[in-house]
Amino acid sequence: MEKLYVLYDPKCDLCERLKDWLLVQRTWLGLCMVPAGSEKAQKMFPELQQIATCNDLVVVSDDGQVYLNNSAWIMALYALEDYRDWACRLAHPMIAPFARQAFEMISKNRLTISRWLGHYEPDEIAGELSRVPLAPCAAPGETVSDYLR
Amino acid sequence: MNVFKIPLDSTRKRSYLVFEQVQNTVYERIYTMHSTETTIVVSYLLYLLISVTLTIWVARTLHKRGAIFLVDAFHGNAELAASVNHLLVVGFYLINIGFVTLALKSDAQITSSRAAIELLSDKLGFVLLALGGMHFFNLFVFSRIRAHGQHNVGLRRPPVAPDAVLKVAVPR
Repeated sequence: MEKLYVLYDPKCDLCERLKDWLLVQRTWLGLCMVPAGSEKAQKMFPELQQIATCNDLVVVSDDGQVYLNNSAWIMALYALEDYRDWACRLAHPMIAPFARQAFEMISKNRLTISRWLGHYEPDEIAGELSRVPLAPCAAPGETVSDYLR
Repeated sequence: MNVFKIPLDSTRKRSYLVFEQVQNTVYERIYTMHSTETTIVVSYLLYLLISVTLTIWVARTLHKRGAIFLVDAFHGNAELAASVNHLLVVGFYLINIGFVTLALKSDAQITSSRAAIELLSDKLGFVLLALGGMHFFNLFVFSRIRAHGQHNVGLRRPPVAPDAVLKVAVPR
């Protein structure tokens, strides 16, 4: 795995912000931003339309692995030099559903989430993250990937 | 005639004396100037010799002991480690010898061997401090490279499983 394609929803504020933020980070893996549903996305990943329809974020690795929603948010962090270990902590099943909130905190209030990840138990982190407000477009609803699991 | 001879002779003697005195002071001055010049040149040479030797010693120590660090940092890639090690040592030599030569000049008037030794130790002290600083900086770089490498290795596997795998290869 050398490169990640990040298909973000251009209509979602949080996804837009993630895209802008990812572009200025130091990375371990190459990152390529593709607006979801665009011509470029359809041309590059024709198969993806059946797998991911109404997801806010999709990450595809250069070896063809597809990550949707929560996993996609975690994989985006995993690509970054400064946040790889955070991604590994956020992958805990109790915390993963709050990956968007975690990103919200990372991009706005790094110190606080750093303290949570450093000292708290997974359930406490999940509790704290669940209280972080999100824009309605980014709130996780029922998506195809939830049925796929 | 004899009456005249004595005073004349005496004046000549006097003038000889004066001349000799002048000659002596000039010689003395030339001699002291010469010895100051020699002292400063000898101090400069000693300074260069000692500081360059020290630089070489520190660089060799770094080269020898740093190799193990770097091989570990580059996951056993000895060739890459040797190359980085060599480049680091070249940088170390350049910076240190550059510093040593720039710090050579002194405006101090060296009049005694005591002053010469003081000047020498003053300059060498600066060089040693610079060498120490560079040495620790190099150690920092080594440990940074190593930590960086280990971090990358420890977390190489993605933390989450993929939701699906594409059948068609991803265009690069």
